Amino acid sequence: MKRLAVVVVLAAVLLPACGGTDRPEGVVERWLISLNQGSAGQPQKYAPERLSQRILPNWASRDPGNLDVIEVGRGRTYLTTQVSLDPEHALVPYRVKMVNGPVGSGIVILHKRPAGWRVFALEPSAANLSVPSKGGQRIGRASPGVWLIGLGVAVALILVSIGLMSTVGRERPVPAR
Amino acid sequence: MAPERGPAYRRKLLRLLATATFFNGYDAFVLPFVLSLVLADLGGTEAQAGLIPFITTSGSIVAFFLAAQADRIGRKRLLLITIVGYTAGTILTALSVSLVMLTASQFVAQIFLGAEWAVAITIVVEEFPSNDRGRGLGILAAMLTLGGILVGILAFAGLGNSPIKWRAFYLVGIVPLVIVGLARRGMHETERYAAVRAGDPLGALDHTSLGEPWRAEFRRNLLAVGLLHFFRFISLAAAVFWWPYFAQQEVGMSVSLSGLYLALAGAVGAAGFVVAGKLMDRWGRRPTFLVYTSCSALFGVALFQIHSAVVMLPFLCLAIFFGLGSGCMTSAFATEFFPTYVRSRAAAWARNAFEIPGGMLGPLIVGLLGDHRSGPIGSIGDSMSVVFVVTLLPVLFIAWRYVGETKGVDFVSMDEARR
Repeated sequence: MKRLAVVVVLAAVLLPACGGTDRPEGVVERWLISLNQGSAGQPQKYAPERLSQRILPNWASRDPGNLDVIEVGRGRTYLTTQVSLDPEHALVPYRVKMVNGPVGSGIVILHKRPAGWRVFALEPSAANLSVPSKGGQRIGRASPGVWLIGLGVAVALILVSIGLMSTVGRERPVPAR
Repeated sequence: MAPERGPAYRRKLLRLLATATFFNGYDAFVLPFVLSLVLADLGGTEAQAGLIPFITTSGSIVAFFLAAQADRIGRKRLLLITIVGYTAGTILTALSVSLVMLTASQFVAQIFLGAEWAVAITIVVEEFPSNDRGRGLGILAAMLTLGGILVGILAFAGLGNSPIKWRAFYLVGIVPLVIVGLARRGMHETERYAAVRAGDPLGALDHTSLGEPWRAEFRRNLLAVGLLHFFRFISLAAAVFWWPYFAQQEVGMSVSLSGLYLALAGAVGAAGFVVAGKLMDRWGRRPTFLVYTSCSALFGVALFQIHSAVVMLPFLCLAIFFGLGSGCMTSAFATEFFPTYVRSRAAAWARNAFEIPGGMLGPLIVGLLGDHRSGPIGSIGDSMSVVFVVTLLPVLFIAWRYVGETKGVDFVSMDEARR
């Protein structure tokens, strides 16, 4: 019963953490990765065609893998004169580098709609928002609580293993030379 | 008259098995590498891109039923069947005219590849003397990594730019059939298997039941080894799958630089197999496994916490060295605890029924936790590090508490005890 209680408690802690998250940074990243898929990509799911063409002109007729670097940093809701005060807007830094050299970077502006975040504008880079390789913040990170939960799950799996092994009897030595 | 099986024969046998295993590793890396080219050529969406590897990998689970046949029809015959089957699957893949045909062909290829590994390690364990088995397993396991490196080398050499584009990568898979076709006449059935078959004319031993490895006398070892395979492969497969994404998306490395790092670290990591093979013959399987797994946990966690491309390379080398190198010992655990008449089925259970599902689950868990849009952690690097902690602590505990030592195990005595 104690083992079952541990599993139930861990599930109760973990399951709520799995729902409800929708980061705009993830949308920007999927958009850029999708652009890099050539004709197999579906960037229109995330952004209007005119913005896709600004990042990678004629993306649909290119071979996959034209972007050698795709990097997205942690964004935030940000108040500027260019964007309304609506908190449903997000600014996300990005950096791309073409295989043949040219580099592009800047800020993606997203708008939250009922179906989720959608890209609606591109702006030049801002000093206080940058990608991790340029000193910016990572999109997400594990909190100390997550590490503790991880240790708890490891202990729970050890207990499950002990429980399973207790059902199969004693050790029988193998013949040695 | 019994055929001569001296060192020269074993060297030849190892070359043959190494070739087959090399292409096992090669094939595992080809599809992820060419998938975007395939989608662009045959037409397909990103959703299908996620579905295709899942379906084809499940062929390795179906391979369980084929791999288990080695105890019934013999190791040599099954090895030849797997190589012919894999070659047919890979040729059909190269000729695919639709995503459905490509997926079905790769599914078939994975069935034969999945069975090939189980029978190859069984042959090495049975044909090599006890003080040399570790080296044989080490070389065999190293081929998995070296096969993967060949994909990168061929891509760097421009094979994808050839007139037949991605299809060229699959046509390379014909090579093992040609080599085995030339070398098969000199290959014999393993001495142990032939002896056990000859010593059981009345058929007292069950050579066919898939449940035979779960008999009371084997059950404890099989469950311990199976759990160890399962937990270890969750983190290992996830790390192999997610490292390129982590390096490119979270560290900001270019695709070409991350590919170069992987090739360099893979070459260093292949030495991990060879060193592990020697150490397990000297120290024993269990102590070597505990050292390797501890180090792989340490360097694995560190690797996914590093956000500097310069610092990352040595950690990547060490993580691959210890992480993949421990595969030598798990191969020994999956075979050396079991008598010859049931050995291949035990290896099939460990590999195809425990390890492969773990390998399918690992990337999925890390992807769900670390997804930048919806994951509760939102970082592949941190999710990967947490999964290392979650899975490798149980692996260390199981190895320490439940897995015995098989160094110097005498298969003749083990087989005679079964009569």
